[in-house]
Amino acid sequence: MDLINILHCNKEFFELLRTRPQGSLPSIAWDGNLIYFGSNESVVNLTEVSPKEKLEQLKAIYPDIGPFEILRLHSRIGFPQAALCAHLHIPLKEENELFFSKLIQVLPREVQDHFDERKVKIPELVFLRALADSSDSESQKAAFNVTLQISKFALSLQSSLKSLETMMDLFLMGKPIEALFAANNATEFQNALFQNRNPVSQQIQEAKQSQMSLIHWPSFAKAKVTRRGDRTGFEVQTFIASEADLTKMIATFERMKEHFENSKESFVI
Amino acid sequence: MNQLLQSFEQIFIDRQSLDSRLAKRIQKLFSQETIVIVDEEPFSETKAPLTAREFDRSKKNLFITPYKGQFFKRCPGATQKRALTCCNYHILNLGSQCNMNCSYCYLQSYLNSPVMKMYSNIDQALLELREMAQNHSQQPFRVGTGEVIDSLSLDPITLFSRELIEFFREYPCWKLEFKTKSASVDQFIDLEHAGNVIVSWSINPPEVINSEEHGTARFEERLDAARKCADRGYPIAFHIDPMIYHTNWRENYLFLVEEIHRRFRPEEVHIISAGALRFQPEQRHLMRERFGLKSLVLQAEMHGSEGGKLRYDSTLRSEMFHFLIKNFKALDPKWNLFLCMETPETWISSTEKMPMQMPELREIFKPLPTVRPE
Repeated sequence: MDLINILHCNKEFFELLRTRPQGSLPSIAWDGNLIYFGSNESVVNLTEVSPKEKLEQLKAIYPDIGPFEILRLHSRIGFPQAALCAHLHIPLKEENELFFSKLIQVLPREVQDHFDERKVKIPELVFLRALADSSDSESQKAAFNVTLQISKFALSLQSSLKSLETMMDLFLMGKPIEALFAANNATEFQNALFQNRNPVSQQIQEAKQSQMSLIHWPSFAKAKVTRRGDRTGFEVQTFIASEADLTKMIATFERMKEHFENSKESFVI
Repeated sequence: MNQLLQSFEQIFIDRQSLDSRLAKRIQKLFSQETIVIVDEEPFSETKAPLTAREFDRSKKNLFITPYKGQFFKRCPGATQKRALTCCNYHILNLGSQCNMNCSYCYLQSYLNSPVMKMYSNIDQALLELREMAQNHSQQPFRVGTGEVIDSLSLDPITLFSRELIEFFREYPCWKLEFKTKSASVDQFIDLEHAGNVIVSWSINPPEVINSEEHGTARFEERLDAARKCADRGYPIAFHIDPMIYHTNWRENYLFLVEEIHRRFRPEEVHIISAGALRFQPEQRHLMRERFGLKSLVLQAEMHGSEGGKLRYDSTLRSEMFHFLIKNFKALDPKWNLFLCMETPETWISSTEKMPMQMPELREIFKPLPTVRPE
């Protein structure tokens, strides 16, 4: 199929075709021609357009194009660095090219699509620069297959970013991350990530859990161990219907104080 | 000294600084091929934030320039009074960036200049201090020069220490603190002082120094330099900061405590402060790129805390502080310790008190008049 120069396309026509398959260039008519290649990547003919115009023209007809999609196209047709960096909202630096290619080489396509759908911004993935000093993309790619769990469990953008960064840390620490494939759901997956990355903090939480079981909580209070940033403690849920309830609750908690001190967790970190 | 001079690739001198004592000394010390006279900051096309490569380069290029802002400020800890218990420290910045290379260094999230700077107008800094002295010469102000630059590692080049020691002789109520990870003390050791110049070392066990504090003086060298200062009557101090958790942390920090106790008497050591690893969340990216995950700092389990920094779990921090304090006090109750940039909760869980309840710390933590905006 011959592709038509992007400058010649009928842009008004695209206004009617805003919907597109998630994670790939839209299946759309191109001045009367269809340029969708099934499950393969679509390629637009930008080669005859001046370098300056390439990205602008592309954005004019694909306003929703995701950053990973842009980067994949960039790897084939080469957008000017300055325009590309401005579009991706990252400072123009010579190290960027290696970073861009790592992003599309190392992350599975499904994960790239997931991030495009979640409207990720490339600066949010800046932690992946740490992969760029290694030329061994193949072993990185193999190891990062487990990141498919992120798309499989359809994590939110923030959870996806946090999970990906944790997985990268574990990989760079030389820990076996393929075991994360065993997680059956998002909660299991995120718990496994936390435990692997934070074994000491996990130990602290478990000690709190033991402490909680030693405390005789009053019947009106339901307690659970919770982490809030750098602190682990008890989240206590209760219900007060009257001033009398409140007085009773304060008195009961007051009596708990000594018991609370005695049950303090003891463990060796 | 030769090693220090050779660590720089290029020296840039701002034309406005050419007549300064610092620029003249630089021109004597460095070869002419190394020196470039400039009218504006080098690499100014580099926009923040710096990449790992740019940050590394900034350590090898020295820029001598006048400082245009206010030299004298309050410690950043004082700006977080709601979250932290702070000790009224004031800072005097005579340059920025550091020629050493610690994995956890907070300058990685703080600096956006592509060069290391040394300010040529120290006279202006002394003038600011003199103005402050007109109203506050009897207040026990503590002034440190090691916030955004090591106080002494470049001092063999600048000799700023000599001018400051002379100046502080006039104000015996004030205390000047040099804070360093170097062993550079010979350049001022001969000077008479008023007993109010504290030379302090940021120190960690050898295993942590070797793993995380690149280009710094080794453990033995720092303690030897401290001994030299103590022998000349300088009060000394140690900042066991940042304490870094690792597998053998107990035996390594115990070794540190025992070595300090073996080599110094509590009366010689003005203060020992302790702080745990902490850094701004965005700093982790540059650290990871520059030092990799073999670093104990990058392997650390960090959690968001009040005030925004990443820190160890509060239980772990308290455990580490408690261990340190308990072991110092067991060797001699006269060791004077406090926690740096910590929350009231950690103070209570580590020491069972707040600093104002501790007679030996009350003087340090007592609020002072604000002489500069925070």
